[in-house]
Amino acid sequence: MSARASLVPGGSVFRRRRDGWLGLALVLPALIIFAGFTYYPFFKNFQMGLFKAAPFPNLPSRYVGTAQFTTMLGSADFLDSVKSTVIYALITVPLGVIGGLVMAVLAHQKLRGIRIFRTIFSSSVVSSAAVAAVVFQVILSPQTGYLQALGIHLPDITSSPTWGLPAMALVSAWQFVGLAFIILTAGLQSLPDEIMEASRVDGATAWTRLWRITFPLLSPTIFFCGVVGVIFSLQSFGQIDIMIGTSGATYTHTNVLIYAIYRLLHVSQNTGLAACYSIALFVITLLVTLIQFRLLEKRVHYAH
Amino acid sequence: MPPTLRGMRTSSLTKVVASFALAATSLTSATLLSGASAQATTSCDPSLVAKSSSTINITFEESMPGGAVSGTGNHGVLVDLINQYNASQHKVHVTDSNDAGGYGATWTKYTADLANGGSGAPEVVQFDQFDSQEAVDTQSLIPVSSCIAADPAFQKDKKNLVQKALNAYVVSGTQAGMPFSVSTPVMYYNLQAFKKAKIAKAPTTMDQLIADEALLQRAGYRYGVAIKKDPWLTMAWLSVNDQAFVNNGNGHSSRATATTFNNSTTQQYWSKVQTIIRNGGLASSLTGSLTQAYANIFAIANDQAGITFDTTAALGSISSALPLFKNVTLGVAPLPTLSGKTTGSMLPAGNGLFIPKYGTAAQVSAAWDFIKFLTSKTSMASWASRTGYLPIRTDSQAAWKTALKKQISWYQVAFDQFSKGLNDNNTQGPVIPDYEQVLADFGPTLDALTQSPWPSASTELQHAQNTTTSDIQSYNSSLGY
Repeated sequence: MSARASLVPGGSVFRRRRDGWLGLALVLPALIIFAGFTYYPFFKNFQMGLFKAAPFPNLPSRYVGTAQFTTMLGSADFLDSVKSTVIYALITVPLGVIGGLVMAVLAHQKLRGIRIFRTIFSSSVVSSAAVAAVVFQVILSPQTGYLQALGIHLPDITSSPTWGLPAMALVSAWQFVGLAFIILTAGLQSLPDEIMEASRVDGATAWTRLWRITFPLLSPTIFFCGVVGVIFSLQSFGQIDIMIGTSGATYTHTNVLIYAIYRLLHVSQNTGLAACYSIALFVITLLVTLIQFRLLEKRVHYAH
Repeated sequence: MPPTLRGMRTSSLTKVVASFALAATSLTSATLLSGASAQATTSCDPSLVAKSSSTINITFEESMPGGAVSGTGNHGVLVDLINQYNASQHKVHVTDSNDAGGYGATWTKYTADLANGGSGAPEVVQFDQFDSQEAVDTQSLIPVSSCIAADPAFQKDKKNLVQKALNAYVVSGTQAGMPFSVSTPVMYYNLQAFKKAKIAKAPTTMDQLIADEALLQRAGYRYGVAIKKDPWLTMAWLSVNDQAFVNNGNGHSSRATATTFNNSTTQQYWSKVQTIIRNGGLASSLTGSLTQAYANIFAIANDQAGITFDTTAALGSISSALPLFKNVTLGVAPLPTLSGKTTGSMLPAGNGLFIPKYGTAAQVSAAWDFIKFLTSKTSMASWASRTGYLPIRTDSQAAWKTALKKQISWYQVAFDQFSKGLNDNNTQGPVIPDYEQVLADFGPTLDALTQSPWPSASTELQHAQNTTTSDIQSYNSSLGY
């Protein structure tokens, strides 16, 4: 095509330019939303971390450079918070994934009324953190809880430094198990029937089929579920706020990073340090996800 | 490319881009405009209401719980008062803005208004008494002292207010806000439990309380005594012993820079509480759901305990629920002390009314007029008798007593605790910088004190004192102090 032809309307260069502008116009609404609500707050965090904020928004902040990042990295509160976050994830994710997997395998049977069980198993996914917190409060309360009524005396998890974090992780795991169940059920349903049939013909037992065929073929889904679970557990907030709050000894043990950020913002009004914690949480989430991809993905079998 | 897009005309494309540009410009303009600072009024002239030829509209931001229906719950009673004020005159009209989330929600909303340069801020705002220092630190208020100074009629009326309630809102020597609701902690007990346990009268010392706990447990009350893990108790014990929670005149003379609550008095009190809990008493949570935050009260209702401490502000709710619990005959007494005597008096606690500076001069004047109405003799008698708060005026007492009839003995205990005895900085309640943080710091200490391995009170209180002092200093430094 000649240069002259390409410059006239309908020519390829003109059309490419026009299509380029059109493409830009079409992505602009999404771009504005992402820019306003994702990218701007993300980069603003880095700026906020450099300023010591006055406790009230009408008063000026002071530039302190990287001092707040240094303070955070050297603070016992931050290290405790990271430790709590890691323990929280280590309880929530395996419990959620294994629970979801067991239920998915059980619900994958062709039995009468199995749909009812599927609905029950997946119901926790539609329960909000507030609902989950209230459900567990009603069950666990040492004064008025159901377990108490049954004669099972439990320690008060809202003031027990030993049981506070595991109890909160249990609530999160209960919430996550529904999502894990749905993901893993979808994974199970997508497994090729002919492989299962062939293994049955070859005389493989149910256990062998599960262990040697189902799990390897399901491993990409389990891996995905694990990644989602880690991100879910790192963002758990509502149940801790409702069941524990910001006061009490249990609080110091359930002070996971996301809750520490909230506390810094709303109790201490320390936006600068809260921004530093947010960046730390971002880095930790990124690193954990990268590690998961590097280490665990090697053990995942993708069907081709 | 799909055919529809390929066929789109350039002019249409230009229109799309232009529309987005226009939308973005409008959005930016709106954001800039909404962020524009409201005007600031720096003085208070109470005479402007009388001079005004038109109705002055003001908003009252408050945090009272209860139904929105007039007359139901604390909020309903307040709505009644607002309606009465609006009906009583035509110069000022008050619009109520209730934050169901409590003091914290009002605080959050107010500071959000500050982020907009005061745009949207109310003309009268209700804050927790212990948030007074932070309220002043926002640099967004007109101290009520400037209204009082310009109001000769109020200066004459001032003598009818309980001076300690008024003094509670003196921050660094200035009357920052006006008291509105006052409550104190008291001891609640079940007379039927006392009868079963053969306890003749309410304990007046902590040692008697320990002995009564054993008697109650023997009579079948699982916990015997229920104690809420509330930092307020530490403030109360310091106040009745005429000691300060923070330095610099308990924060009244000048800005507090450190907490001072770890002394032999508080150590002895908390050691006694440790004994009570170790002997099987209930240490209940300060926060959480209704059943968590009032587990100590429920323990009385469920025959698990015979004695607890809590606020008089709960008396209204308790007395309404009492007919449902035939097993409880309520008794109210002052908090037990170490020796049975007090050298100071009980601090007031509750909430006060503040005037933000963002209204017009006429609105500031109207705000003061409304505050005077809420704290007037008649309003205060109505407010106190219908909510469980204590009247902050001595001349409201007669009407208050008449309205409460037989229940007055419960309230009188609390009122006497608060209004009689010494009135100095130590008994007016502390003015604490970064109060919410101090409260949060205190929680772990109280939890640790009330469970195994039972650390010494002096060690735990010292730890709390160090943490709270460090946080107060960090807060002060963020403001340039």
